Amino acid sequence: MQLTKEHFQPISMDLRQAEEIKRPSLSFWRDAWRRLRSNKIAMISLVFLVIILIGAIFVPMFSGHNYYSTDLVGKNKPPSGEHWFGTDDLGRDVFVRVWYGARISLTVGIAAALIDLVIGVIWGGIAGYFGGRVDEVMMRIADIIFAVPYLLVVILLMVVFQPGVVTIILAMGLTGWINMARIVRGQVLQLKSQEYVLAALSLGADSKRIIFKHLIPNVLGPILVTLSLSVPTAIFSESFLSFLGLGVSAPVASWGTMASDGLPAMRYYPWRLMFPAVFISLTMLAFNLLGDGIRDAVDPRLRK
Amino acid sequence: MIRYLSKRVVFMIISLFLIITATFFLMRAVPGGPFTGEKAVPPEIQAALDKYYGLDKPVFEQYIDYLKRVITWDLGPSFKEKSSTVNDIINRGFPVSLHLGIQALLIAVFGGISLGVLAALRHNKSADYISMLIAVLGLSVPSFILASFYQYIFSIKLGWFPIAQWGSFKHTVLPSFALAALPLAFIARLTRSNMLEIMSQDYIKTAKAKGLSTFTTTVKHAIRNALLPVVSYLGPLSAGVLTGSFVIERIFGIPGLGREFVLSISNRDYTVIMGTTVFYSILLVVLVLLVDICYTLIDPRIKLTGGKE
Amino acid sequence: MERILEVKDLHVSFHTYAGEVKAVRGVNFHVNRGEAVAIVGESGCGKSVTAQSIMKLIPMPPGEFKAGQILFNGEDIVTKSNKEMESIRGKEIGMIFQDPMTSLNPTMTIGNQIMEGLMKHQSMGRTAARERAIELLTLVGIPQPERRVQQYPHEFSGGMRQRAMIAIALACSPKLLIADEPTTALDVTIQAQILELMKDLQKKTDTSIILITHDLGVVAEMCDRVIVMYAGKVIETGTVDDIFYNPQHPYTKGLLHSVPRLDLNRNEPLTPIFGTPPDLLKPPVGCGFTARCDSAMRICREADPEMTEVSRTQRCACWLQHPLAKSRVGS
Repeated sequence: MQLTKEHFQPISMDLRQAEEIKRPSLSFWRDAWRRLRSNKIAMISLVFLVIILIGAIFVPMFSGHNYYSTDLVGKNKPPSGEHWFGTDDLGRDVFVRVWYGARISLTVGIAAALIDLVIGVIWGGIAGYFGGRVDEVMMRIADIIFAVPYLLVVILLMVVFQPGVVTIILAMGLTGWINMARIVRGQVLQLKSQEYVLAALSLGADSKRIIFKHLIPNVLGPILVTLSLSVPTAIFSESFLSFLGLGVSAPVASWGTMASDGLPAMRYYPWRLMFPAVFISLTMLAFNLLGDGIRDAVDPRLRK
Repeated sequence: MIRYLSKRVVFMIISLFLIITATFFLMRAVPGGPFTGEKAVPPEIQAALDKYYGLDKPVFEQYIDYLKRVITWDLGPSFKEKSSTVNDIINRGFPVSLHLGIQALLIAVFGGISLGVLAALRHNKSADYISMLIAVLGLSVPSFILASFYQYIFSIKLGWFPIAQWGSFKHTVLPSFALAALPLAFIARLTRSNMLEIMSQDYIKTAKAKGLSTFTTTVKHAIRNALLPVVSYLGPLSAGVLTGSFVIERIFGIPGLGREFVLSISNRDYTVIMGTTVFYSILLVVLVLLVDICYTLIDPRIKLTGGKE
Repeated sequence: MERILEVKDLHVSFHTYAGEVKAVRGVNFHVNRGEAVAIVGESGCGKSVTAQSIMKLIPMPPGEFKAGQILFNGEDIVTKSNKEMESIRGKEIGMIFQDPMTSLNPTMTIGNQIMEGLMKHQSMGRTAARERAIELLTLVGIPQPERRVQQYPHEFSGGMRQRAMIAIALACSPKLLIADEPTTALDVTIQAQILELMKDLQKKTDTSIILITHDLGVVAEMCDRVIVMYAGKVIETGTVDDIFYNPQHPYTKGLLHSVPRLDLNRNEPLTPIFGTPPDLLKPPVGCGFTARCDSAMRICREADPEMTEVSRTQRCACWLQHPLAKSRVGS
């Protein structure tokens, strides 16, 4: 390059754009959503779960069969054009029962997770916010409930109260919140002493800004992750209880009761076990994978 | 150390007391009572039965009696199985369950740690994806489905292992693996994420800067530290194995305590339900305490000044 | 003078989801035997990446050597295998990291952490290594070394831990010691002690030192020569006197002006450097400092300046060194 005197003329400040913002700044949730969307496995799981949800709502409504009609002549029939997933030992259509079971499982999973959320956030939030004696007593109570295995407590409650969907949800909601409470408490305690909250305070940020910019993203991330993993736990527990005969009672179908009924006939009528088993497993898998995806997406430490 | 221990033991006793109390009053709250559902009994026989089981006394007195009996480890007679006491049932079922549980825990710990370490060392390579696929399947497929799947493949189709019953070592293989799946998956994921976190720590860089080989750095510095949290999870994991045994023992027809417990539930055999719950709670609370003590012995960072856990 | 280390046209990049970050973009410098050289610059200027490249401690992937050579004792480190590096790390080159709180393994005794290197490189037995560890702890000024070798890092204070880190780095008497911000995480009084210790040990052992820092006070204290880095490049080098009394690059001048000094008039204000360094995802075409430079010219945005000799000991990469620029300023 031929250098001339022209090249060595000073340039003014505005041409240099000294203070330009170097990278577009994304809000926390937009960034998390972008990362979740780019996670193929999590997106496939999400789509799968939406399909299950839609199927659970509409298939039992529009199917030519219903979950309770028995047909003793057409019992234990293998899958066919008439009965896509075959029939069970009372001649009931397995296809419509599986979708009806999806309703029960999803209802139980989501409702129990929501109860966990409400109790856990309130309990953990109060314990963490007040600290000291209150915290000590509240977390000791949580420890005691936690000392007994969750399923054992649920089983005891199911023995005492009338079996049914509502009982299951209540029993699980009343015992499953410990994890959520611990996580919320931990986050609140940590945030209370965080230097960046102090920094924000000393910079004159008002409490609204602190709550929305600092507390919510930092507490909501772990809450969301815990929530997304407590849904499959609840679905699992429901099928576990139903399998032990403590779940919903006949003729109502749930995946657990169907698997339990199908088990003894596994050798001769494998479809009666296979279809509910595949549905539980895939749904649990999708929830777990989606939960993992959400965890990766909202963990701010991974943010680059 | 002694202060810490005594504090923990006192807390443990309080928890157990509350658990026993809650169990007792829950069982009292059952509508009807233990004999409803059976065919109508003449009132004089009913009264005799009540007297035999102590049900004629006021509830509070029954409660005190029950506490006394738990302390002397006499869990009373079974309501339904007239010839045995709850102690008999526990004595005959627990050794079987313990054998199964220990075998499953060993598989879970060794399998889970190996999978987790392998996945972390081959981070974002196919070995990592395969290990984590196994782990997420282990978390997602309920053990009763996995157990029936094993039975279908390895017993019915391949005929390698007996489909059910308990006796030889061969009988123990399928149930142990079915029971181990969930804790194995859990340990694998925990180990992997701990390993990944530790591999990015500064002291790993220090170890490398000393010229230590990748192998020494991984084994002496990374794996050791990554396994510490796994130790602290052994308590809750044992709880998982325990509840898992309820279904596994039922599916494989294993005469363990888990199956007795499930039977007692479907029979509404309240003394057995109560006794087994109390037994399980004591077992777990003691186990968690032992695990915590081990942990504090292994990890030099934890000082036993009481208070904190 | 014997050159123990020579870095030639080093380029290091990191591959991130957003693209290739060119962290080091053509760095040249050398270190003589027994010399203490400082690499100075803001956070993110590539000084730590350069230092870790010398040890080949950059995780690859995402890191990658794009070009250049690192000659240590005449051998190119870039082409060496991991196995070959094991006999250089710790033995020939020692390294001290910034944060002594996280650089020591929390579950291993200090003694064992010192002994590891000795047992590997000098094939010492446990007893011999232990004695040497106690000697080293004495050398770095840790009292009661016999008791201290058995303790864990959490039983040490920050300054003590950094002393232990120095003992680890010096265990096998390396020819070169790389100290990556060794005093940044410490209290001021402790900083002085650690610097004093390093200076003292350098004299005793005739080790060459590369000191990475953004603290010019530390540089004046213990270095012979200074390398100033900006946006992944070396922009000025010279002796400590050159840099402190006759800085040429506007960035170097800015750095010096932003440090409070006791020997100047207290009414003279501190002048910070405005703006931020360029994003190395998209490195600028011309000189990286243009946007923040008071003396920027048209050429600065169009082409990168070459290194030019200012004196026998001082070199600078700035268009202001060009004869045409000098003639304009002069006229």
